[in-house]
Amino acid sequence: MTNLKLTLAILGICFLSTSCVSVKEYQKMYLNDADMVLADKDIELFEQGFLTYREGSSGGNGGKTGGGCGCN
Amino acid sequence: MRMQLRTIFTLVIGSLVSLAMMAQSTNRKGKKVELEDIDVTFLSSYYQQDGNHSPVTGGIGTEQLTNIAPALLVNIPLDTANSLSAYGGVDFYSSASSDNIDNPNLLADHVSGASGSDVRGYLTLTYKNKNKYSGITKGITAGFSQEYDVTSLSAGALWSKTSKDNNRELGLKATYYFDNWRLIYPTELRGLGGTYLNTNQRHSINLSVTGSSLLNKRFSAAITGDFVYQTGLLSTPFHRVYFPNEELARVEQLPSTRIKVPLGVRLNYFATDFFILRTYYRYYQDSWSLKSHTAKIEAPLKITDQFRITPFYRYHKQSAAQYFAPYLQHSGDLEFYTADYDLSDFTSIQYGAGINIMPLFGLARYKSPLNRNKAGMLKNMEIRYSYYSRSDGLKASIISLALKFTIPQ
Repeated sequence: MTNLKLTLAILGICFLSTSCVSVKEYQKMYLNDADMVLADKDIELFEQGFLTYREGSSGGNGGKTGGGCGCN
Repeated sequence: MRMQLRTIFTLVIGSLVSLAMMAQSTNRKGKKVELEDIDVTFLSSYYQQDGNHSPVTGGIGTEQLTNIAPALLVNIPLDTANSLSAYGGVDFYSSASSDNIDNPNLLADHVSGASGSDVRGYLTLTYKNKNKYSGITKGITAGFSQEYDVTSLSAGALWSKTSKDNNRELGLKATYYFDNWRLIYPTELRGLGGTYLNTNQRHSINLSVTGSSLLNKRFSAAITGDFVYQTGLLSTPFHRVYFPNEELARVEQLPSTRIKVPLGVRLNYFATDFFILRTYYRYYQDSWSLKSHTAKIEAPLKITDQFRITPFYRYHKQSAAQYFAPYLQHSGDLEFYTADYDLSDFTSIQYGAGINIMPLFGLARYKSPLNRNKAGMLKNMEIRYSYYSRSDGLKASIISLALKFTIPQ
Protein backbone atom coordinates (compact mmCIF):
# COMPACT_ATOMS: atom_id res chain seq x y z
CA MET A 1 0.00 0.00 0.00
CA THR A 2 2.89 2.37 0.85
CA ASN A 3 4.57 1.55 -2.47
CA LEU A 4 1.31 2.21 -4.30
CA LYS A 5 0.91 5.61 -2.65
CA LEU A 6 4.52 6.46 -3.50
CA THR A 7 4.09 5.44 -7.14
CA LEU A 8 0.87 7.45 -7.44
CA ALA A 9 2.53 10.48 -5.79
CA ILE A 10 5.50 10.37 -8.21
CA LEU A 11 3.22 10.02 -11.22
CA GLY A 12 0.98 12.81 -9.89
CA ILE A 13 3.94 15.19 -9.49
CA CYS A 14 5.05 14.32 -13.02
CA PHE A 15 1.58 15.07 -14.41
CA LEU A 16 1.33 18.42 -12.71
CA SER A 17 4.88 19.60 -13.35
CA THR A 18 6.06 21.24 -16.53
CA SER A 19 9.34 19.36 -16.47
CA CYS A 20 8.08 16.34 -18.39
CA VAL A 21 9.22 16.12 -22.00
CA SER A 22 7.19 18.50 -24.16
CA VAL A 23 5.87 16.72 -27.23
CA LYS A 24 5.26 19.02 -30.21
CA GLU A 25 2.11 18.70 -32.31
CA TYR A 26 4.07 17.32 -35.28
CA GLN A 27 5.53 14.62 -33.01
CA LYS A 28 2.15 13.22 -31.96
CA MET A 29 1.69 10.76 -34.83
CA TYR A 30 1.86 7.75 -32.48
CA LEU A 31 0.01 9.39 -29.60
CA ASN A 32 -2.93 10.30 -31.86
CA ASP A 33 -3.50 6.66 -32.79
CA ALA A 34 -7.05 5.51 -31.93
CA ASP A 35 -5.71 2.79 -29.62
CA MET A 36 -3.64 5.28 -27.60
CA VAL A 37 -6.71 6.94 -26.11
CA LEU A 38 -6.40 7.14 -22.30
CA ALA A 39 -9.85 5.69 -21.61
CA ASP A 40 -11.90 2.62 -22.27
CA LYS A 41 -13.09 2.29 -25.85
CA ASP A 42 -16.76 2.66 -26.74
CA ILE A 43 -17.12 -1.06 -27.42
CA GLU A 44 -16.04 -1.79 -23.82
CA LEU A 45 -19.04 0.07 -22.34
CA PHE A 46 -21.08 -3.13 -22.03
CA GLU A 47 -18.21 -5.04 -20.43
CA GLN A 48 -17.80 -2.27 -17.87
CA GLY A 49 -21.52 -2.50 -17.19
CA PHE A 50 -21.59 -6.19 -16.29
CA LEU A 51 -18.30 -6.01 -14.34
CA THR A 52 -19.78 -3.23 -12.23
CA TYR A 53 -22.59 -5.57 -11.25
CA ARG A 54 -20.56 -8.77 -10.81
CA GLU A 55 -17.76 -7.24 -8.77
CA GLY A 56 -18.68 -5.40 -5.59
CA SER A 57 -15.99 -2.79 -6.21
CA SER A 58 -17.04 -0.29 -8.84
CA GLY A 59 -15.79 3.13 -9.89
CA GLY A 60 -12.43 4.48 -11.00
CA ASN A 61 -12.94 3.32 -14.55
CA GLY A 62 -16.08 5.11 -15.61
CA GLY A 63 -18.18 2.34 -14.09
CA LYS A 64 -21.72 2.96 -12.97
CA THR A 65 -22.26 3.96 -9.35
CA GLY A 66 -25.96 4.62 -9.52
CA GLY A 67 -28.79 4.42 -11.93
CA GLY A 68 -30.58 1.15 -11.88
CA CYS A 69 -30.47 -2.19 -10.21
CA GLY A 70 -28.68 -4.84 -12.27
CA CYS A 71 -28.77 -6.98 -9.18
CA ASN A 72 -29.78 -10.31 -10.67
CA MET B 1 -43.13 0.01 -20.52
CA ARG B 2 -41.77 -0.77 -24.00
CA MET B 3 -44.20 1.73 -25.56
CA GLN B 4 -43.13 4.42 -23.06
CA LEU B 5 -39.47 3.81 -23.80
CA ARG B 6 -40.09 3.86 -27.55
CA THR B 7 -41.94 7.20 -27.26
CA ILE B 8 -39.19 8.74 -25.14
CA PHE B 9 -36.42 7.61 -27.49
CA THR B 10 -38.32 8.80 -30.57
CA LEU B 11 -38.71 12.24 -28.96
CA VAL B 12 -35.06 12.42 -27.97
CA ILE B 13 -33.70 11.29 -31.35
CA GLY B 14 -36.11 13.69 -33.09
CA SER B 15 -34.90 16.55 -30.86
CA LEU B 16 -31.25 15.72 -31.57
CA VAL B 17 -31.83 15.71 -35.34
CA SER B 18 -33.69 19.06 -35.07
CA LEU B 19 -30.80 20.50 -33.03
CA ALA B 20 -28.32 19.33 -35.63
CA MET B 21 -30.35 20.96 -38.39
CA MET B 22 -30.54 24.24 -36.44
CA ALA B 23 -26.86 24.16 -35.52
CA GLN B 24 -24.96 27.39 -36.13
CA SER B 25 -23.13 27.23 -39.41
CA THR B 26 -22.06 30.90 -39.39
CA ASN B 27 -19.75 32.77 -37.05
CA ARG B 28 -20.38 36.17 -35.42
CA LYS B 29 -19.31 38.02 -38.56
CA GLY B 30 -21.79 36.06 -40.62
CA LYS B 31 -19.05 34.11 -42.34
CA LYS B 32 -19.90 30.51 -43.12
CA VAL B 33 -18.08 28.03 -40.89
CA GLU B 34 -17.49 24.42 -41.77
CA LEU B 35 -19.00 22.32 -38.98
CA GLU B 36 -17.43 19.04 -37.96
CA ASP B 37 -19.26 15.82 -38.82
CA ILE B 38 -21.79 14.28 -36.48
CA ASP B 39 -20.43 11.00 -35.11
CA VAL B 40 -22.89 8.19 -34.57
CA THR B 41 -21.83 4.91 -33.00
CA PHE B 42 -24.25 2.00 -32.99
CA LEU B 43 -23.40 -0.45 -30.23
CA SER B 44 -24.88 -3.83 -29.52
CA SER B 45 -24.04 -6.75 -27.27
CA TYR B 46 -25.22 -10.18 -26.23
CA TYR B 47 -24.34 -11.23 -22.68
CA GLN B 48 -24.94 -14.49 -20.89
CA GLN B 49 -23.93 -15.78 -17.49
CA ASP B 50 -24.48 -18.79 -15.30
CA GLY B 51 -23.56 -19.61 -11.75
CA ASN B 52 -24.99 -21.18 -8.64
CA HIS B 53 -24.86 -18.50 -5.95
CA SER B 54 -27.81 -16.22 -6.54
CA PRO B 55 -28.55 -13.78 -3.70
CA VAL B 56 -32.24 -13.96 -4.64
CA THR B 57 -32.21 -17.50 -3.25
CA GLY B 58 -29.89 -16.79 -0.32
CA GLY B 59 -26.53 -17.56 -1.94
CA ILE B 60 -27.56 -20.81 -3.60
CA GLY B 61 -29.48 -21.33 -6.83
CA THR B 62 -29.17 -20.37 -10.44
CA GLU B 63 -27.70 -17.07 -11.63
CA GLN B 64 -28.55 -17.75 -15.27
CA LEU B 65 -29.09 -14.49 -17.14
CA THR B 66 -29.07 -13.27 -20.73
CA ASN B 67 -29.10 -9.68 -21.91
CA ILE B 68 -29.40 -8.18 -25.39
CA ALA B 69 -28.39 -4.54 -25.40
CA PRO B 70 -28.54 -2.21 -28.40
CA ALA B 71 -27.33 1.36 -27.77
CA LEU B 72 -26.57 4.55 -29.62
CA LEU B 73 -23.80 7.08 -28.97
CA VAL B 74 -24.22 10.40 -30.82
CA ASN B 75 -21.96 13.45 -30.78
CA ILE B 76 -23.24 16.62 -32.47
CA PRO B 77 -20.94 19.64 -32.92
CA LEU B 78 -23.33 22.61 -32.61
CA ASP B 79 -20.69 25.13 -33.67
CA THR B 80 -16.93 25.44 -33.29
CA ALA B 81 -17.14 25.62 -29.48
CA ASN B 82 -20.28 23.79 -28.37
CA SER B 83 -21.31 20.18 -28.71
CA LEU B 84 -24.09 17.92 -27.54
CA SER B 85 -23.76 14.18 -27.04
CA ALA B 86 -26.26 11.50 -26.20
CA TYR B 87 -25.81 7.94 -24.98
CA GLY B 88 -28.93 5.85 -24.80
CA GLY B 89 -29.98 2.27 -25.10
CA VAL B 90 -32.24 -0.53 -24.02
CA ASP B 91 -31.42 -3.76 -22.17
CA PHE B 92 -33.69 -6.72 -22.91
CA TYR B 93 -32.91 -9.27 -20.25
CA SER B 94 -34.22 -12.52 -18.91
CA SER B 95 -33.13 -13.69 -15.50
CA ALA B 96 -33.84 -17.01 -13.86
CA SER B 97 -32.97 -15.66 -10.42
CA SER B 98 -35.39 -12.73 -10.73
CA ASP B 99 -38.01 -15.31 -11.46
CA ASN B 100 -37.36 -16.83 -8.04
CA ILE B 101 -38.46 -13.66 -6.23
CA ASP B 102 -42.00 -14.95 -6.65
CA ASN B 103 -41.16 -18.53 -5.76
CA PRO B 104 -41.94 -19.20 -2.08
CA ASN B 105 -40.70 -22.77 -2.04
CA LEU B 106 -37.93 -22.39 -4.59
CA LEU B 107 -39.18 -25.44 -6.46
CA ALA B 108 -38.10 -26.17 -9.99
CA ASP B 109 -41.65 -26.32 -11.34
CA HIS B 110 -42.92 -23.01 -9.99
CA VAL B 111 -45.01 -20.54 -11.97
CA SER B 112 -42.89 -17.88 -13.63
CA GLY B 113 -42.89 -14.47 -11.98
CA ALA B 114 -43.44 -11.20 -13.82
CA SER B 115 -39.87 -10.10 -13.32
CA GLY B 116 -38.33 -13.09 -15.09
CA SER B 117 -37.75 -10.96 -18.14
CA ASP B 118 -37.90 -7.21 -18.54
CA VAL B 119 -36.60 -4.11 -20.21
CA ARG B 120 -34.30 -1.39 -18.93
CA GLY B 121 -33.99 1.88 -20.86
CA TYR B 122 -31.43 4.61 -20.22
CA LEU B 123 -30.35 7.91 -21.72
CA THR B 124 -27.66 10.44 -20.81
CA LEU B 125 -27.27 13.84 -22.47
CA THR B 126 -24.10 15.92 -22.19
CA TYR B 127 -23.56 19.50 -23.31
CA LYS B 128 -19.99 20.80 -23.60
CA ASN B 129 -18.42 24.15 -24.30
CA LYS B 130 -14.74 24.30 -25.20
CA ASN B 131 -12.72 27.50 -25.20
CA LYS B 132 -9.83 26.77 -27.54
CA TYR B 133 -7.85 29.82 -26.31
CA SER B 134 -7.92 28.98 -22.60
CA GLY B 135 -8.07 25.20 -23.11
CA ILE B 136 -10.98 25.00 -20.67
CA THR B 137 -13.95 22.75 -21.33
CA LYS B 138 -17.12 23.05 -19.26
CA GLY B 139 -20.14 20.84 -19.46
CA ILE B 140 -23.31 19.63 -17.87
CA THR B 141 -24.90 16.23 -18.02
CA ALA B 142 -28.32 14.76 -17.22
CA GLY B 143 -29.69 11.27 -17.51
CA PHE B 144 -32.35 8.80 -16.57
CA SER B 145 -32.87 5.06 -16.56
CA GLN B 146 -35.94 2.98 -15.94
CA GLU B 147 -36.59 -0.67 -15.30
CA TYR B 148 -39.42 -2.58 -13.66
CA ASP B 149 -38.41 -1.78 -10.09
CA VAL B 150 -36.01 1.17 -10.29
CA THR B 151 -36.27 4.65 -11.77
CA SER B 152 -33.07 6.64 -11.74
CA LEU B 153 -32.24 10.27 -12.48
CA SER B 154 -28.79 11.82 -12.69
CA ALA B 155 -27.28 15.27 -13.10
CA GLY B 156 -23.70 16.40 -13.20
CA ALA B 157 -21.09 18.91 -14.20
CA LEU B 158 -17.65 18.56 -15.71
CA TRP B 159 -14.64 20.81 -16.11
CA SER B 160 -11.27 20.22 -17.71
CA LYS B 161 -8.22 22.25 -18.63
CA THR B 162 -5.67 21.34 -21.24
CA SER B 163 -2.14 22.77 -21.09
CA LYS B 164 -1.03 25.20 -23.81
CA ASP B 165 1.14 22.55 -25.49
CA ASN B 166 -1.75 20.04 -25.30
CA ASN B 167 0.47 17.65 -23.37
CA ARG B 168 -1.36 17.57 -20.06
CA GLU B 169 -4.97 17.68 -18.98
CA LEU B 170 -6.72 17.93 -15.64
CA GLY B 171 -10.38 16.89 -15.52
CA LEU B 172 -12.99 17.16 -12.76
CA LYS B 173 -16.43 15.61 -12.81
CA ALA B 174 -19.25 15.52 -10.29
CA THR B 175 -22.39 13.44 -10.77
CA TYR B 176 -25.43 13.01 -8.54
CA TYR B 177 -27.75 10.00 -8.91
CA PHE B 178 -31.19 9.61 -7.43
CA ASP B 179 -32.66 6.11 -7.51
CA ASN B 180 -36.26 5.42 -6.60
CA TRP B 181 -37.06 1.75 -5.92
CA ARG B 182 -40.27 -0.23 -5.87
CA LEU B 183 -39.75 -2.45 -2.86
CA ILE B 184 -40.40 -5.99 -4.05
CA TYR B 185 -39.84 -8.46 -1.22
CA PRO B 186 -39.57 -12.24 -1.55
CA THR B 187 -43.10 -13.55 -2.01
CA GLU B 188 -43.21 -15.53 1.26
CA LEU B 189 -42.56 -12.33 3.27
CA ARG B 190 -45.24 -10.21 1.63
CA GLY B 191 -48.40 -9.68 3.63
CA LEU B 192 -46.78 -10.57 6.96
CA GLY B 193 -46.86 -6.93 8.01
CA GLY B 194 -43.15 -6.56 8.55
CA THR B 195 -41.20 -3.40 7.69
CA TYR B 196 -38.04 -4.85 6.24
CA LEU B 197 -36.43 -1.72 4.79
CA ASN B 198 -36.84 1.88 5.94
CA THR B 199 -36.52 3.72 2.66
CA ASN B 200 -36.97 3.12 -1.06
CA GLN B 201 -34.60 5.89 -2.18
CA ARG B 202 -30.89 5.96 -2.85
CA HIS B 203 -28.66 9.02 -3.31
CA SER B 204 -25.19 8.70 -4.82
CA ILE B 205 -22.57 11.39 -5.32
CA ASN B 206 -19.58 10.59 -7.50
CA LEU B 207 -16.61 12.97 -7.60
CA SER B 208 -13.87 12.18 -10.08
CA VAL B 209 -10.45 13.71 -10.75
CA THR B 210 -8.35 12.69 -13.75
CA GLY B 211 -4.89 13.86 -14.68
CA SER B 212 -3.35 12.80 -17.96
CA SER B 213 0.00 13.52 -19.53
CA LEU B 214 2.05 12.73 -22.61
CA LEU B 215 5.34 11.47 -21.21
CA ASN B 216 7.17 11.25 -24.55
CA LYS B 217 6.41 10.67 -28.25
CA ARG B 218 5.24 7.09 -27.60
CA PHE B 219 4.18 7.04 -23.98
CA SER B 220 1.11 8.51 -22.27
CA ALA B 221 -0.39 8.07 -18.82
CA ALA B 222 -3.43 8.96 -16.75
CA ILE B 223 -4.36 8.81 -13.07
CA THR B 224 -7.98 8.75 -11.91
CA GLY B 225 -9.21 9.17 -8.37
CA ASP B 226 -12.87 8.79 -7.47
CA PHE B 227 -14.78 9.50 -4.30
CA VAL B 228 -18.24 7.95 -4.15
CA TYR B 229 -20.71 8.58 -1.33
CA GLN B 230 -23.97 6.63 -1.25
CA THR B 231 -26.80 6.88 1.21
CA GLY B 232 -30.31 5.46 1.53
CA LEU B 233 -31.38 2.06 0.27
CA LEU B 234 -28.23 0.02 -0.31
CA SER B 235 -29.84 -3.36 0.35
CA THR B 236 -31.70 -5.12 -2.44
CA PRO B 237 -35.26 -5.83 -1.22
CA PHE B 238 -35.62 -9.23 -2.89
CA HIS B 239 -32.27 -10.64 -1.76
CA ARG B 240 -32.86 -13.44 0.73
CA VAL B 241 -30.56 -14.41 3.61
CA TYR B 242 -31.10 -17.71 5.43
CA PHE B 243 -30.15 -18.18 9.07
CA PRO B 244 -29.76 -21.59 10.73
CA ASN B 245 -32.89 -22.81 12.55
CA GLU B 246 -35.11 -20.15 10.95
CA GLU B 247 -37.83 -21.31 8.59
CA LEU B 248 -38.32 -18.04 6.75
CA ALA B 249 -35.66 -16.12 4.91
CA ARG B 250 -34.73 -12.62 6.02
CA VAL B 251 -34.39 -9.64 3.67
CA GLU B 252 -30.79 -8.59 3.06
CA GLN B 253 -29.73 -5.79 5.42
CA LEU B 254 -26.83 -3.49 4.59
CA PRO B 255 -25.79 -0.15 6.12
CA SER B 256 -27.45 2.98 4.78
CA THR B 257 -24.17 4.66 3.84
CA ARG B 258 -21.20 3.55 1.81
CA ILE B 259 -18.04 5.41 0.82
CA LYS B 260 -15.95 4.09 -2.07
CA VAL B 261 -12.48 5.27 -3.02
CA PRO B 262 -11.01 3.80 -6.22
CA LEU B 263 -7.67 4.92 -7.67
CA GLY B 264 -6.70 4.00 -11.21
CA VAL B 265 -3.56 4.33 -13.33
CA ARG B 266 -3.47 3.90 -17.08
CA LEU B 267 -0.27 3.64 -19.15
CA ASN B 268 -0.25 3.38 -22.96
CA TYR B 269 2.87 2.68 -24.99
CA PHE B 270 3.20 2.77 -28.78
CA ALA B 271 5.88 0.06 -28.96
CA THR B 272 6.30 -0.38 -32.72
CA ASP B 273 4.35 0.35 -35.88
CA PHE B 274 2.69 -3.05 -35.40
CA PHE B 275 2.15 -3.20 -31.69
CA ILE B 276 0.64 -1.00 -28.96
CA LEU B 277 0.50 -1.80 -25.27
CA ARG B 278 -2.43 -0.58 -23.15
CA THR B 279 -2.25 -1.22 -19.41
CA TYR B 280 -4.52 -0.38 -16.51
CA TYR B 281 -4.35 -0.89 -12.77
CA ARG B 282 -6.93 0.03 -10.12
CA TYR B 283 -6.94 -0.14 -6.34
CA TYR B 284 -10.29 0.06 -4.56
CA GLN B 285 -11.34 0.39 -0.93
CA ASP B 286 -14.70 1.10 0.66
CA SER B 287 -16.32 1.58 4.05
CA TRP B 288 -17.69 -1.99 4.03
CA SER B 289 -14.11 -3.35 4.28
CA LEU B 290 -14.08 -4.41 0.66
CA LYS B 291 -10.70 -4.00 -1.04
CA SER B 292 -9.71 -4.96 -4.54
CA HIS B 293 -6.87 -4.94 -7.05
CA THR B 294 -7.58 -4.99 -10.79
CA ALA B 295 -5.01 -5.20 -13.59
CA LYS B 296 -5.67 -5.25 -17.31
CA ILE B 297 -3.43 -5.48 -20.35
CA GLU B 298 -4.39 -5.06 -24.00
CA ALA B 299 -2.12 -5.40 -27.03
CA PRO B 300 -3.61 -4.01 -30.26
CA LEU B 301 -1.76 -5.69 -33.16
CA LYS B 302 -1.79 -3.86 -36.51
CA ILE B 303 -2.04 -6.68 -39.02
CA THR B 304 -2.46 -4.09 -41.80
CA ASP B 305 -3.25 -0.36 -41.76
CA GLN B 306 -6.92 -1.27 -42.01
CA PHE B 307 -7.15 -4.32 -39.79
CA ARG B 308 -6.29 -4.82 -36.12
CA ILE B 309 -6.63 -7.63 -33.63
CA THR B 310 -6.64 -6.75 -29.93
CA PRO B 311 -6.17 -9.59 -27.44
CA PHE B 312 -6.64 -8.64 -23.78
CA TYR B 313 -6.42 -10.12 -20.30
CA ARG B 314 -7.83 -8.83 -17.02
CA TYR B 315 -7.25 -10.04 -13.46
CA HIS B 316 -9.29 -8.99 -10.44
CA LYS B 317 -8.98 -9.92 -6.78
CA GLN B 318 -11.23 -8.66 -4.03
CA SER B 319 -11.76 -9.29 -0.34
CA ALA B 320 -15.25 -9.79 1.07
CA ALA B 321 -17.44 -7.08 2.48
CA GLN B 322 -17.64 -7.54 6.26
CA TYR B 323 -21.37 -8.34 6.09
CA PHE B 324 -21.06 -11.25 3.68
CA ALA B 325 -21.40 -14.92 4.56
CA PRO B 326 -22.47 -17.90 2.42
CA TYR B 327 -25.78 -19.74 2.67
CA LEU B 328 -26.68 -20.60 6.31
CA GLN B 329 -23.35 -19.28 7.58
CA HIS B 330 -24.75 -16.17 9.27
CA SER B 331 -25.42 -16.59 12.95
CA GLY B 332 -26.22 -14.57 16.02
CA ASP B 333 -28.06 -11.31 16.35
CA LEU B 334 -26.57 -9.46 13.39
CA GLU B 335 -27.62 -5.96 12.33
CA PHE B 336 -26.30 -6.29 8.78
CA TYR B 337 -26.04 -9.37 6.58
CA THR B 338 -25.91 -10.40 2.93
CA ALA B 339 -25.36 -13.58 0.93
CA ASP B 340 -24.58 -11.71 -2.29
CA TYR B 341 -21.49 -13.30 -3.84
CA ASP B 342 -20.77 -10.05 -5.74
CA LEU B 343 -19.61 -8.85 -2.29
CA SER B 344 -17.67 -12.02 -1.46
CA ASP B 345 -13.96 -12.83 -1.47
CA PHE B 346 -13.00 -14.01 -4.98
CA THR B 347 -10.62 -13.71 -7.87
CA SER B 348 -11.77 -13.37 -11.46
CA ILE B 349 -10.15 -13.51 -14.86
CA GLN B 350 -11.41 -12.10 -18.13
CA TYR B 351 -9.85 -12.59 -21.54
CA GLY B 352 -10.79 -12.27 -25.18
CA ALA B 353 -10.04 -10.37 -28.34
CA GLY B 354 -11.40 -7.65 -30.57
CA ILE B 355 -11.25 -7.23 -34.33
CA ASN B 356 -11.27 -3.73 -35.79
CA ILE B 357 -11.76 -3.09 -39.53
CA MET B 358 -11.17 0.54 -40.54
CA PRO B 359 -10.58 1.13 -44.26
CA LEU B 360 -9.16 4.55 -45.17
CA PHE B 361 -12.28 5.54 -47.14
CA GLY B 362 -14.73 3.67 -44.92
CA LEU B 363 -16.69 0.46 -45.27
CA ALA B 364 -19.62 2.16 -47.00
CA ARG B 365 -20.54 5.66 -48.20
CA TYR B 366 -23.92 7.38 -48.46
CA LYS B 367 -25.42 10.84 -48.97
CA SER B 368 -25.64 12.81 -45.74
CA PRO B 369 -29.31 13.31 -44.68
CA LEU B 370 -28.32 16.80 -43.40
CA ASN B 371 -26.29 17.95 -46.40
CA ARG B 372 -27.04 16.31 -49.76
CA ASN B 373 -23.78 17.67 -51.19
CA LYS B 374 -21.64 15.68 -48.81
CA ALA B 375 -21.07 11.99 -48.28
CA GLY B 376 -21.15 10.29 -44.93
CA MET B 377 -19.51 6.97 -44.29
CA LEU B 378 -19.43 3.90 -42.15
CA LYS B 379 -15.93 4.53 -40.80
CA ASN B 380 -15.17 1.31 -39.04
CA MET B 381 -16.55 -1.87 -37.55
CA GLU B 382 -15.35 -3.50 -34.35
CA ILE B 383 -16.32 -6.87 -32.89
CA ARG B 384 -15.14 -8.00 -29.48
CA TYR B 385 -15.58 -11.25 -27.54
CA SER B 386 -14.82 -11.68 -23.88
CA TYR B 387 -14.97 -14.65 -21.49
CA TYR B 388 -15.24 -14.12 -17.73
CA SER B 389 -14.67 -16.62 -14.95
CA ARG B 390 -15.05 -16.00 -11.23
CA SER B 391 -13.49 -18.29 -8.61
CA ASP B 392 -16.93 -19.02 -7.04
CA GLY B 393 -17.97 -20.72 -10.28
CA LEU B 394 -19.79 -17.91 -12.09
CA LYS B 395 -19.01 -17.91 -15.83
CA ALA B 396 -20.02 -15.25 -18.33
CA SER B 397 -19.37 -14.32 -21.93
CA ILE B 398 -20.18 -11.23 -23.92
CA ILE B 399 -19.94 -10.40 -27.59
CA SER B 400 -20.12 -6.73 -28.62
CA LEU B 401 -20.39 -4.90 -31.92
CA ALA B 402 -19.62 -1.24 -32.70
CA LEU B 403 -20.36 0.49 -36.01
CA LYS B 404 -19.11 4.07 -36.36
CA PHE B 405 -20.83 6.40 -38.83
CA THR B 406 -20.17 10.01 -39.78
CA ILE B 407 -22.91 12.39 -40.91
CA PRO B 408 -21.61 15.65 -42.48
CA GLN B 409 -23.65 18.77 -41.67
